[in-house]
Amino acid sequence: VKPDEQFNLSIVKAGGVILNITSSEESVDAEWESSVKIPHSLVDWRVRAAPTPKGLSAKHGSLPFIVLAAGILVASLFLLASQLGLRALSKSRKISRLNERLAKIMKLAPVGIFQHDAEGACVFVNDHWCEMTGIGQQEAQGDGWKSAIHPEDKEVVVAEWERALKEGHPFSLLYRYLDKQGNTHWVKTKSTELLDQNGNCIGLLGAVQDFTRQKFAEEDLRESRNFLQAVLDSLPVALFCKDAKNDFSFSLWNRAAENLWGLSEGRVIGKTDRDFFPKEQADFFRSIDEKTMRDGMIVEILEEQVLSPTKVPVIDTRGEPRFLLGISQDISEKKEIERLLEKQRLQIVQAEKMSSLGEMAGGIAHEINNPLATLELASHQLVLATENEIIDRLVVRKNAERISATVDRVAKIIKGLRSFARDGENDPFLSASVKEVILETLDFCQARFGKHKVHIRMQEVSDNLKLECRQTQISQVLLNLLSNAFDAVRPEPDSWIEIKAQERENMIEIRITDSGPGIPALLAEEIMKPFFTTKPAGKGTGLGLSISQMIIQSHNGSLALEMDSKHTCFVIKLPKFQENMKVSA
Amino acid sequence: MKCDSLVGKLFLVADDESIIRELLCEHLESLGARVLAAENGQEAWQLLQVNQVDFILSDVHMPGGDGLELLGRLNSAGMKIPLLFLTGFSDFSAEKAQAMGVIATIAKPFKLKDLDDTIARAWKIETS
Repeated sequence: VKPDEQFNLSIVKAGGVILNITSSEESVDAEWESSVKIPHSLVDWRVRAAPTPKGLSAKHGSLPFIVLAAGILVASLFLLASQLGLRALSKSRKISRLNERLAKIMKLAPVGIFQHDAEGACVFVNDHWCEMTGIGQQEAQGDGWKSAIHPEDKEVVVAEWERALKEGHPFSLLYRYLDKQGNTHWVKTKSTELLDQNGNCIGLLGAVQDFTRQKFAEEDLRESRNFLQAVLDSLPVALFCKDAKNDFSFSLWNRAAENLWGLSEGRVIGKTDRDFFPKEQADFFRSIDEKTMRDGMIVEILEEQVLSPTKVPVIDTRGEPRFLLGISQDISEKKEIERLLEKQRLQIVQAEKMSSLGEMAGGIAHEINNPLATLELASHQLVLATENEIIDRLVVRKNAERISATVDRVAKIIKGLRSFARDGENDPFLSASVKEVILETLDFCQARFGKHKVHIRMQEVSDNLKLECRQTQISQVLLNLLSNAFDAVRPEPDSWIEIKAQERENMIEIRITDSGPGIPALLAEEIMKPFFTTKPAGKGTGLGLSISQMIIQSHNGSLALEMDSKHTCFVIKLPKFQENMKVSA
Repeated sequence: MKCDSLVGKLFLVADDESIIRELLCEHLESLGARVLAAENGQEAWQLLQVNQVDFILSDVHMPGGDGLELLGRLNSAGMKIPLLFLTGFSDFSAEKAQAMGVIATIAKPFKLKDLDDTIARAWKIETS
């Protein structure tokens, strides 16, 4: 091939073209193909030369010529090789290696690469560009590349592109591609002129970098920071962070912390405990912080304080404890609510008791009115006795004794009433006779039950049966169960309530059975719940059983409805002795 | 109250509380009456079968036959014996008893004078 003759030289290694040299600015329309094994090459090169005579447009038409030329080309190449010698061959090998590398870079580069000719028509795009835009190599040719540009940016980009081309300065722009799936890619494009030997622009080479991630990363970061800050600030607990690698200085201080300690974030961040506390206290906090970083979570129990701080080490990306996260809660409100709830609970318990007392009022009146009638009659007898000339000592004595016995009886009732009405919650557990507890409770209700013809049967209970309990409370439970039984069976004729107490497996078992037909299994669980009542409105508080259960549980016992009983039967089981409790003899 | 008016009359006292029963008996006896005592309505009814009783003082609520039952039996048997209720229940509704023909209902505790006056008044009504 003569030096001024137009030619196209391709070097092909197994797999594809790796070097394409065209002597003219124009591309090749058709090829002359031939190959030869270059003797000095270390690898198995095939050389393909394709002169590009103008007017040769059809491959088929050129075939005979190719065949004819093959021999000439082989000869020429040998001639060329011998004439230029090894120097020329080595130079072309260097170029081919460089071009091989370039081709690989083009293929592998994580940026889109394009080449345009001097008129601005696209002649080449690499694989990555195609991936980015979803546009094929062929499609991108000419003006095809423009379809990749986001419609909103197209006008600006094209104008800028044409200006760069016309004025011959590099093109650099941030704009958007819209791929075929409808995804927007922010891209940063930079291009540079391609010049020939004489410095004339023969095209543009450019790179397109997908900037989407970077574009949004900062925004995302800011957004997630804001989000986290909003979350932290809206938490009702005070949060703070200390940087263990930076003298335990504060690195986080949320709004609840600001409110709790009355210190703004700005005043705290970067400071340490020493800036706010006396040295001794700050050192103490530091020792706890260090221990936390060493041992893990610590919950400080500070009874006198209203705060309950929890400290947790926070691990950094290298897996090392870096930050100390402190969580504190203003529990003064919680404590106040707890206190109020407890107060309310006690009031409810008391109200329930008063309610049962109210129900018993008629019976209690009877218990007192009768003795009073006795006193009136007996005193009259004494008066009569004094009216006689001879005082009958026996009559006097007899009536005095009657009065005394009656006083005892009233006193006992008052005492029982008082002990029932008082709050026995803090009473010590005392040893009591089971029989006595039951009898004293019956004193309250027997009259009322009798009035309505509800018969009480009490099975004989041994005097020796003893129980460690808060008698007032147990009495309250018994009374509640008896009253419930009474209300249930009162409307029925021949109704009865039976009380049985016995020792079983070191427990005291008290069974209260009434003549009612039992409670449906469906309600068995419900009845123990607070405010559940089957009584008409205004009749019961619905708290009796739940309070009773609470009391029995506080005695480490159980209160349950016996399911397989023909009649309604409640069973109280209580340990004879209260372990681990202060029991006064 | 004229004590004479009770002299020789037969009273029946029914109360389940022994002290009250005894005291009522003693009191009526001190007024010159003769007295029978019963622990409950059932016992009282039995005594009424064999005695010509002039006046009954009865508690209302007694285990084993109460006062209202007794009154019911008297009415059923057509026995017109004046009956006076004594009750310790402050919430006792006297209406039913009155409808059944009780002379009066006295709430315990009572002053003896009130009891005596009530008996005298009842007696007067009965005998007039």
